[in-house]
Amino acid sequence: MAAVSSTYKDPSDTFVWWIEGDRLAIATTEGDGGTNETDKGQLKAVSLGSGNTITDGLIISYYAEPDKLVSPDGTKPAIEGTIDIDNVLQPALIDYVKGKALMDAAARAKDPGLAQIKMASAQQCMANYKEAVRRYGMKKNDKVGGTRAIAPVDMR
Amino acid sequence: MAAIEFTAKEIYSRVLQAVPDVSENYVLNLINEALIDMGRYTNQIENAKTDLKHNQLWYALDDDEAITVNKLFRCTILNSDGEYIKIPRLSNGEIKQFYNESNTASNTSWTEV
Repeated sequence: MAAVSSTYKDPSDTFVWWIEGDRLAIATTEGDGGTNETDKGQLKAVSLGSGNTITDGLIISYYAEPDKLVSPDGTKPAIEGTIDIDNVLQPALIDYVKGKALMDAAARAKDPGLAQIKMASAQQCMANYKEAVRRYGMKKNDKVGGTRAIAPVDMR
Repeated sequence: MAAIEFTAKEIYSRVLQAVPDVSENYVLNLINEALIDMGRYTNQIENAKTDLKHNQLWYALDDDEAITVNKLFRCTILNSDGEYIKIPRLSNGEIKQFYNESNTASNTSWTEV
């Protein structure tokens, strides 16, 4: 397998992408694969010559799931690991964990009154979580803030 | 690296105030459950790169890859000047030729950038 340099002048004219299930498809009209359906001008897989690759030829941007909490150095317990979310969402995470823990505690409680109190606290925590993440999550961490100004057109 | 980074231990200590008898492992599982739930919303944007390979149409995005993609919104391809150029999305997702869809996971290796 050989690494080759990109020869594409403007990939926006000749490449396309789409998603099918868990797969990303990259097709191009560049290059000739030697058949009617793979010659220049037809959408097909990238044609670079057998076994060739363009190193780091594709970059994607995506909405990601936070990384799983794991041991910070492989030896310490995972509980000492840092959490892969923005700091503004930490209170929401605490609310979620407290809410679920209180729900389980309510289910275990033998005293119905105590169970009811724990369940009410759990519902409050989950309501806080939903508001923080679902309604305001993006607004809180989009790093866009401050006053806006409109630059008027110079009429001279 | 953020100036302040919370560890799971700090969250555990907060949870202990509300529910005193929970174990670390139980809280750890709840934190991971919360992270999966938070991943359903558009809170975190990341970029990843991979090699462009000859005659490979499909690039795997399964959850067992090095990256976890919830929604892809931009693809860029390296051009001859070393720049990454945004490419359009094919709306109907159909081309005439059939490409074998098996083994895409083992053929793709993503690295976060």
